Amino acid sequence: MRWIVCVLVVGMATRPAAAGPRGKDIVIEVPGERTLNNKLAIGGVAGAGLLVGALGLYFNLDARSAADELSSQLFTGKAWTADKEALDDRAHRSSVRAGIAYGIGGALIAGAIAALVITEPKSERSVIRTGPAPAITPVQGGALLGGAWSF
Amino acid sequence: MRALVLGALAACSPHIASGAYLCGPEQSCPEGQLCNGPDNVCVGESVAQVFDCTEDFPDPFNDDTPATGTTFNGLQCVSGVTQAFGCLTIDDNGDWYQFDTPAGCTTVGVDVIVTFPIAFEPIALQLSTDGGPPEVADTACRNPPNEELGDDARCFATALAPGHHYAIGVVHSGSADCSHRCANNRYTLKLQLVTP
Repeated sequence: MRWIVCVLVVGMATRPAAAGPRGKDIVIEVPGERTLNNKLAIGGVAGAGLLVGALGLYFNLDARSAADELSSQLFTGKAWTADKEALDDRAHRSSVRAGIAYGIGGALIAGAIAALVITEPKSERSVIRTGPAPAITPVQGGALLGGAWSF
Repeated sequence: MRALVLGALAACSPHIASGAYLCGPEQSCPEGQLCNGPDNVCVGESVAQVFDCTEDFPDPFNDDTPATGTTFNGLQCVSGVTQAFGCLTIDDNGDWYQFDTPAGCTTVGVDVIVTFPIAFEPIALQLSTDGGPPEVADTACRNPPNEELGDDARCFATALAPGHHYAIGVVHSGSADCSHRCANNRYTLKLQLVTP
């Protein structure tokens, strides 16, 4: 007899919970994560771009140094010798190299930025479904508190 | 990106004004400039003139042989420096300068230096003794002028016999003459009799 009463109590306790009002669902935005390979590839391209750009800067400074040595708006009293011709050639050669290095370096950095945008991982929306709202059911000698959630 | 590259290139090119440099060997000049003939200065292409003998460096008339050259008179056993300014044109075989060594000298020698711009054909020196055939005489100078300053020189120093007639010829070297386009030059000749 006591056992049956217990069953009834449980039965009475669970019924209101199953039929109770549902709670609000919880929606979470889970940001996508880049893979290690993606990070390495983009970082590598950007790094190479910076390196080539730095090389361009080196050639730029070299060209400017040579150009400054030759540039003059006044009579220098000096002849245009083979040494100066070589210096002039160096200025032009380094200028061209600087231009090429800047171009390649810039393209690599632009490519890295484009890849960063294009390969941006999509974020996922995750919903946490809540069960019935907590229900308190008085029972003999106390009360039952119940609730359920699903993910 | 193109603007960046062009900007970088422009900033690295030398800016050389017309008239900033003397002409280098064989009339070499910075890009966009030409050697101005009358003063061997690199100038803009539009203002460059062909080579010309100037008032300071005249082309002596009828001095193309040892016997008809300009005469340096009154040289002593040890003389002061006799200086001549001349101009050797493309159609001129040579400019000659005659002198006699005094008969009373125990020993006598001659020091000759000819200085000329590196822009045009280098000058050579020849020596004729008592109307004989000219012989190549010049050598590199011990203290040549700095090429950076636009001049070069050839020298000649030798012992001579007292009481004889000599002639020094300023002639074409036949080298570095821009394929015969700059086979001309102005020069300064200095001659001095010395005790060898």
